[in-house]
Amino acid sequence: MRSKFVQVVLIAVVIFLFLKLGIRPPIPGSLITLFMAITALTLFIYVSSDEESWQDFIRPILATLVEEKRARLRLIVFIVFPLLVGWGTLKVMMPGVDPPAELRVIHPAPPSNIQFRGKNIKIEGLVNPLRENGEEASGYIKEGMEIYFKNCFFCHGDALDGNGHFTLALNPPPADFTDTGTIAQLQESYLFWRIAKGGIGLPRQSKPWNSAMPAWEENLTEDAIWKTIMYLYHAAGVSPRTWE
Amino acid sequence: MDGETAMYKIKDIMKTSISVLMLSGLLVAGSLADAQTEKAPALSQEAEAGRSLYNDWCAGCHGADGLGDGPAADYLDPRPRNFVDGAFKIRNTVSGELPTDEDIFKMIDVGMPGSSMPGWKKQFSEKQIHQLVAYIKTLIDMEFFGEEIPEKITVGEPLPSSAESLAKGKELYRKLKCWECHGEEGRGDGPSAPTLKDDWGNPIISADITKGWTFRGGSHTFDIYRTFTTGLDGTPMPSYIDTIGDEDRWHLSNYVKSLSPLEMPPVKTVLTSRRIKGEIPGNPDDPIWRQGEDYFFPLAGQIVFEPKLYTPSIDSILIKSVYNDKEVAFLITWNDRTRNAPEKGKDELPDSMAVQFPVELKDERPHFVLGDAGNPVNLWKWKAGGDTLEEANARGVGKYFPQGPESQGLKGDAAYMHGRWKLIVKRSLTTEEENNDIQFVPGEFIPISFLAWDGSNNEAGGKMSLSSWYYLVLEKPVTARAFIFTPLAILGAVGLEFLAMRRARRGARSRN
Ligand code: HEC
Ligand code: HEC
Repeated sequence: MRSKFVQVVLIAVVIFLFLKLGIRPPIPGSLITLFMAITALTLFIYVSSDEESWQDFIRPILATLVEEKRARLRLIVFIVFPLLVGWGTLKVMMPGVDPPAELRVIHPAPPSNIQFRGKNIKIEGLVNPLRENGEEASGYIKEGMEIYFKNCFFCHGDALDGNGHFTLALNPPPADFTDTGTIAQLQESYLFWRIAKGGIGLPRQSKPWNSAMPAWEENLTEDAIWKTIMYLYHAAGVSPRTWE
Repeated sequence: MDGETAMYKIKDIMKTSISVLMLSGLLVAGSLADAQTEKAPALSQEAEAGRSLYNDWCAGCHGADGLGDGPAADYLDPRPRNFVDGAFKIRNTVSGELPTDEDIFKMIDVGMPGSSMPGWKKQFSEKQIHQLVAYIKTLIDMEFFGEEIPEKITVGEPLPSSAESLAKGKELYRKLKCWECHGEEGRGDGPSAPTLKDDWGNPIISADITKGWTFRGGSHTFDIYRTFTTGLDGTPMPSYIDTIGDEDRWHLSNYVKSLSPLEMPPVKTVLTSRRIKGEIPGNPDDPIWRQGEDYFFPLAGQIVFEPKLYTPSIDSILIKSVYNDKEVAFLITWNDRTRNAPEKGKDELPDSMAVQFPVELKDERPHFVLGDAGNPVNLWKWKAGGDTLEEANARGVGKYFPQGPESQGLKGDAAYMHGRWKLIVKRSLTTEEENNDIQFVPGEFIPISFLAWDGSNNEAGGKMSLSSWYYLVLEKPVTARAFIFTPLAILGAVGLEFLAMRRARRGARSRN
């Protein structure tokens, strides 16, 4: 168990299983191959960092190649290894059905300014202006809910879980606001930008972009968007990230 | 009787008081709720807790007073239930009665598939759902219902499905005239279907019973049994409780169950076109079209750009693709309750279907709704009536440009039978117009998506149902190379092994 060889093999297997089964939705095979190649390189650097660790690593391999008492194991390895190589080659040569990898930045950095219906809005440092009127917040939340239930729930779901009745036809799926990785870690100004400009307004690093998110600039006023944002945080039970 | 009248009066007073409140412009969230607690009979603690959940999560559709008129209601088909009228679809009680508490509990817990009514299992604890049930019951206008406990249906022993049972079920389906609404093969295209209305006067479609995953009350054999035994209150779906005996009900349920796959088919991201030798058959019933996988793609209403379609009619398609050295072809199948194939000059919207590709394959994909200014799409569009097939390009909604007559190269044919269109469309793998047409190379991943229009639902232009992008790949032929390189690789590996062994042995000897 202590042997470097066993360690290395175990680490590689764990990483492979994680990539294959631990990530939902599954990532494409070509990406797994890439990550495994990086893993193999890293592990190689790790075992060959000094002579002693290298010797420790290759000892069981040498033993299998040389020692008489390991003759049976040697025979098995000598048969299985070429078969694996052959299987791998055949897989590469056969027509595959792995779609191209779609790596995208889900939350790209927002621009510092946007044009909203011809008006310049500074996104950097922006906070929800309606929150100043603390007293009236509950009215805003109710109005936000109405806007949400006329425009948004088809895709984002009435429970805000990204599971509306149109969701099934969309890929990538709509954002799940109850997930801690979405609005809870974003500033309200970010939401304003995304809601105003939609999928079409995303920067290049987020391509190939498939987002069905409409640009609401055309249908909703500035105030309406801020009210909807208030409803989202209220209903999801989380608070926006602040500008430090 | 007295109790009921009193109840009615109180409701009346409550409604008047609410309108007075509205008039005085006091309709702000909090104060409405307060006013209700003052005037309405005190709610039990359980119902009170349910009310607060209801206002937060249900009122958006079902409305603040349970009248089924929340802000979302006009965008939904079926519309959200009006609780005040007390007509519930899914019950274990006889027609016209209120549901049991367990019935309401189950509808909230698992939701109603095929509608926007979600299941709330993830969101709420059992206790909270009980609170919601308690509150919803207080919304019902008891004027229409007696005080007795609703009569439940009795259910006999289930009969397992068998060829014999299915045959009996099929006969009952015919004899009881289920087909008049649901159609001969069950796709909701029966002769009475177009005229149906619900109890509130809204047009209603008869269920497509070949898609069990959209049954509001669930698709287990028992669910189906319950559906036609009790009927769906508020809809034309009748109760057959007095029409057939228990055994026959199981036969009919088994038959209806057999019309759908066990579950909704899985959605895959890659549609593989199978390579065939010889001609691509133009007849969808040809054995070549029977082989291979049918791919299932759900569609949704187009609600990104104006004009939007909130209540689409076509919710999914099935598609299959083959290709040979010259052409690629698609067989697209979808259910549509009505055939709209207007003759020339007739003022009727045609049923239509289109397959969409980007014009150019690059990192950036066109917007999935008909492309965008910088990234045009190539459309293969079919319209019923004169069976027109048209190659076109688009750069966004309203920017649709049919190609000139010299560029039209699509061939194909469509047929409508028993509530279903079957369309075959094909084109040569490559064309001379690389600037407008998608070019097919086996092994390449090509974005593909689908657009559909149901004429009878007033769908045309931007009002359509559609999918987002998937991939099409023409299966790469297996090359001889695979059979040469694989043995070579194995030989190489064996050679390497012996080399390693020799070196290791030498090393060991020199160390000794
Ligand atoms: C997105 C809109 C929406 C929301 C939110 C919603 N519902 Fe519904 N609900 C519907 C629709 C639509 C129907 C009717 C479906 C049909 O008629 O086929 C329905 C039907 C029902 C029914 C009637 C079942 C029957 O047998 O007829 C109950 C009970 C119900 N909803 C409870 C709730 C509760 C409780 C909540 C909140 C936790 C809720 N709904 C939230 C849309 C919604
Ligand atoms: C008068 C027309 C009519 C007749 C006759 C009729 N149905 Fe229906 N049926 C409907 C309508 C309308 C619906 C859809 C109601 C809705 O939208 O909720 C429906 C829904 C259904 C459903 C789906 C239930 C669900 O949970 O969503 C099934 C199953 C069904 N019917 C079976 C039958 C069977 C079996 C018969 C014959 C014994 C029959 N129907 C006769 C009109 C009819």
